[in-house]
Amino acid sequence: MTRVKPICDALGKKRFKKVCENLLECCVCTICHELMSVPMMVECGHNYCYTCLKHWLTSNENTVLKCPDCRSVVSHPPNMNMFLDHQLKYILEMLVKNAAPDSEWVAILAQRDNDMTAYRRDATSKNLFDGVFVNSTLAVTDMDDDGIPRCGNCHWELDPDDVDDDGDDNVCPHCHFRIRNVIRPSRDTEGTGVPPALADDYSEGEYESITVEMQRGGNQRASESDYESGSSEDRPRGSVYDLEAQDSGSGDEPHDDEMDSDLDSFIENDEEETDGPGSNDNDSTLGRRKRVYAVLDADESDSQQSSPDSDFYEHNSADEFVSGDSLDEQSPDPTGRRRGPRVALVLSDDE
Amino acid sequence: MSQRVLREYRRLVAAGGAANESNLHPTDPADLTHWEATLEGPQGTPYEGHSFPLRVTVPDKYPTLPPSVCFPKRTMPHPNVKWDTGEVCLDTLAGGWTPVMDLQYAVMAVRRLLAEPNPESPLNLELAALSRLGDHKAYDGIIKYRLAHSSIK
Repeated sequence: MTRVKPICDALGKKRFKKVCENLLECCVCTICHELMSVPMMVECGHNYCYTCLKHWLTSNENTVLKCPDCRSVVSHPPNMNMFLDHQLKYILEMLVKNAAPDSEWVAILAQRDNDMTAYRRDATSKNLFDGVFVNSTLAVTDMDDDGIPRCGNCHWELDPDDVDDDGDDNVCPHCHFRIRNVIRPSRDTEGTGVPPALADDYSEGEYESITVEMQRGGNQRASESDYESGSSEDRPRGSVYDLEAQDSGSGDEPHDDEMDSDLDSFIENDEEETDGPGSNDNDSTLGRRKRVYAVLDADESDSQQSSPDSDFYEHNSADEFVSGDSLDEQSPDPTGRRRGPRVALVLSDDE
Repeated sequence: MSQRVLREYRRLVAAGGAANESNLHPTDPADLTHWEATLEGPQGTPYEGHSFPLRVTVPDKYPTLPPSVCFPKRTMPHPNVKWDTGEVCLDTLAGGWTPVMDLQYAVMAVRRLLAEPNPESPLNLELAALSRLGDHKAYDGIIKYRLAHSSIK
């Protein structure tokens, strides 16, 4: 209360009244135009009566759930706004004190209590909003799985082209669950600038390694993808973080020098890892890896030579270059341990 | 949900005529499911100088469902209005509807549609085709001809 009195004094009577009116206006549901009854807050911050919001969210079975005011997607069940509910209850109780027993305020207060009972019943029976959040699901995109949006219920592939931008008819074609968020092709939602043209260049196996590759920042795709393709399952599953990390590298394509030094440190880090106490690499793999390093080193010194593109490694890998596949086969044990930290090291490099 | 229509009616009455330039009113104040409004043709359009009656029907599930609006048949030459039925194609009154909108908003949206037709979702193919071709002379000419020979002046 210490702060309230100076605010009231500073406002003056006229403006204080205006502020009060404005605050009361905020307590009116924009759907039913009545004082809110059991206010529920949507994730965008807008509040509605529980009953009004329930009618709206259940009005159509197939569409994306949207906030009535700002149309942002309602992907999670709204929560009760306890603060607003206390205020509303207080306002109504004050109104009823002055009112005759048959006034509308008495009726509204009684209605509020009824609605609260109904809400509690729905909440305990896990049937809030007529189960619209139970009988629907979110489209999920796993970046380790080609970035294809899938039904959160049955994991069926969802084709963004089947759904228009308004999100009408947003239903899984397999299990017929309502999808309550907007399905977008992964290339759009990534926002990390994986160029579609680049993605199309890859064969299916190579494409799996695109996540790690993009972290590295771009061009040296064959060397990378050869190295990674056998072990993409070993990568950590934190695809969200992968996505964010991609931002740093994928936007601008580094030219050759930058790239080589990048690759250089990458290999070095890798060696440190494998040399560490946890790894049981034998001497032969270590030796081979040093050869990889040497190849790259020579590459770097010879600035005239073109970048280590796919052709280079494809032609050399048979004898000179040890691809990731064969390394993994020879030392299958440490791979799982190795992958996680190495990605982290690369990330810090990029930053 | 009829409470909501009742509140809108009370507010319109309380606000008075000045705030209700389309003269939106229930056909019969005892039955708030049928409303009427009058749209003035926007300036600078071929509709200028004409006024158009608009019928608004409030469904049972209003405001969860949008009101349906309709011109009297064969009175409104417009790319998004079916000439023979007066049916209006407007996203605001279909997929774009949300319950925070009200009847007055719906009427305003139709009035805006007169000034800004959307030839991409036509109900009057003839006018939409002319509009898309950019033949404004023929477009305006057809509308004016239709309006001049329409029963409503």
